[in-house]
Amino acid sequence: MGTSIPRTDKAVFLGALIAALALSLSGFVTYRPNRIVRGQVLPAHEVLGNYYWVLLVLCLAVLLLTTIGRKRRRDGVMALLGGALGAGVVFFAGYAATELVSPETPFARTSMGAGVWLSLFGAYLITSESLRGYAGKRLYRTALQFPAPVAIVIMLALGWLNDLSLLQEFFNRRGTFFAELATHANLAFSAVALGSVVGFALALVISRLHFTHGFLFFFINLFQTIPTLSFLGLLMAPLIYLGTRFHFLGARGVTGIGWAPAFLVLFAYTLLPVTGNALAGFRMVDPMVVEAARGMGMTATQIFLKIRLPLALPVILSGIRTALTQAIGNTILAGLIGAGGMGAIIFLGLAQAAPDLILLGTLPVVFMALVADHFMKGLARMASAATGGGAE
Amino acid sequence: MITLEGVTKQFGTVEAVRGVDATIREGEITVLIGPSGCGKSTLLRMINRMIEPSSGRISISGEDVRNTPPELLRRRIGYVIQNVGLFPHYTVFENISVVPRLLGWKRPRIEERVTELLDLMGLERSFAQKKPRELSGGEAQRVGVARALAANPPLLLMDEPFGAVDPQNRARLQTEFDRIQKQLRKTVVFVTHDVEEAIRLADRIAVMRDGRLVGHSSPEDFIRQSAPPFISEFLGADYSLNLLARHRLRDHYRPTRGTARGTGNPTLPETASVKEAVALLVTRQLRELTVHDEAGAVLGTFTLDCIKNLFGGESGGS
Repeated sequence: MGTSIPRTDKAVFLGALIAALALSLSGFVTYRPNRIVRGQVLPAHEVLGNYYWVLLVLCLAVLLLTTIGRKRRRDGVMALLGGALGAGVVFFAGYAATELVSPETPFARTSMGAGVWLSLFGAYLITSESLRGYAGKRLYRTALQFPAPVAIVIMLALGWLNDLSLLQEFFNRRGTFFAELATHANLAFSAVALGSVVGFALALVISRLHFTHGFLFFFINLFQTIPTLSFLGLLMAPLIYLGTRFHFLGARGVTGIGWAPAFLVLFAYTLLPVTGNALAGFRMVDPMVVEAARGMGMTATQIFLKIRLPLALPVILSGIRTALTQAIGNTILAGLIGAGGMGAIIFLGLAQAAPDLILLGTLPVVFMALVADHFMKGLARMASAATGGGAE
Repeated sequence: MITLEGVTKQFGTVEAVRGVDATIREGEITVLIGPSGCGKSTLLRMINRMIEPSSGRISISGEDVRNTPPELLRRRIGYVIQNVGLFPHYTVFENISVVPRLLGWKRPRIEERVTELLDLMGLERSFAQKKPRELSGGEAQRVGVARALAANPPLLLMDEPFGAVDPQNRARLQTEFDRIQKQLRKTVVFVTHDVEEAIRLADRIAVMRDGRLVGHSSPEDFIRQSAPPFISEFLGADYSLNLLARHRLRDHYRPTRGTARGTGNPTLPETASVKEAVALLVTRQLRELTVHDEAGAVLGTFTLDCIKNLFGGESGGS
């Protein structure tokens, strides 16, 4: 050890450096008199005045703390400073928007610039990396992640950010936003739910009947290699046929576009991570442990339920986690074929060349994927602790 | 008592075990030994039906093992394997209580039994709540033996149980197992390829080669009745010397009459093995050494004459 700098300290240092440089050198917000014209990029010190220094001091404080070496409570303080920086950047973006808007220019738009996004990324790095090496209680560690997100939610609720273009886009289509969000979540989660059940069943079939391995994995891999868009296109003809040939399918909306192809594609993509991980999980169970269970007089069913399944569970769950984060992202493409979801908003934004509309569609997807990923990671960790394994 | 009659196992075209006839006596440790691939493990695993024989008959206490469903049979037979195979997601308590739970024991009885076994194996009672990954190799192996003994089965099958432990720990485990066995008097079938381990533990040694049982007797008898070339070669030229480790000095010395006197000879306690005594004679170029008891009082003298009868009929001694 000695003088060597911990890896996490380097990452925190980098985060603070990125934030400081972004605040100083990049545009903080972009101002447009209306939605169509080219914007004017305004740096932080110009639009924020002295408040710019508040944000910069936060960055410098973190930079300084990384150099003093590991001290008691230091990691917690750095995490809080990161949180303050994140919340502060968002607050001042909202503040800048409010300052720039005026009654004479009702169509003016203020959107967050590279400076905001990069310094938010820096703030995220500071908080998450300083907590990685956090030595205190687990509860505190979790709690220290929350100040910035909670502060941002409160600012949203109080309407402090309403003058930002992102929020204006949101208010313009408040009704459809939540409907599309629900559609998005529905599609992704139901596809992964079914995919997990089927994928797990396939893994059982393959582990019992080895000769099916090559055959089944040919299809599972094939699904994975077809580009998503082509896959949607390829499904059109057969689904139109099925929808017209079988009335009960057609009545439920099965046709070349809409939910049916989107659901099928998302479902097919979950099979590789779920089946592959489940098989790997079962294979990782020490054969000597199974041998011992047999020797103790457990029946085949008892061996499966009490030994093989619990020991494979962490790996199985991490497969579902991969499938879920992947599906949440892929569901965006459902917007292309009229199945709705956040993709509908994103593609509208692309068509109108409205970056904030694209952002309005993207941010919830990223957020949903992060939450799902964290949740599944937690589940896998719990399962792993229960099964006494070291690895995730 | 286990009786094997013409037990044969074929894997495809390979005959792993060929027509083995044997009787395994109750309350004794029978060590199955032989070079790798000789079929000793296969033979062991046929006793609890982990492998079914191609032909022949195995009976325990006169009852054919095929009359009992394999799962039920195995719950009545203790089983220990080389890599222990502890269930990593169970605590030590849960590991030991697997068979009792399968047999439907009530919780208080299980708790009592686990405590009893931890004491017997010389493990702290606090170990009950540990997970296998928190145990050292030797500790894990002790838990493995405790798990096999949990439902108090009269018969114990052990497949190279101490094979994965380092030599020092192996010796300790062997000594401990020897002590426990003297207390419990289980019928044990023990597979190993380690001659010294066999000598240390066996009441009877069964030597296998190419699927056949080629010798089956007490360890001393392999010397008394000159064994066939394969067996003497497998047991090794130093077999008789190693055999001396089974004997304590207390049974092989000439008592001194009258009061003790210092001779200047090196001394050994009566609990030392004859092998140690012989080694001392050889290294110090001596003809005799002094035997003393635990308190240090001189009991008598040991010379090579004291063991001249050891391999030739009546055992020598005082």
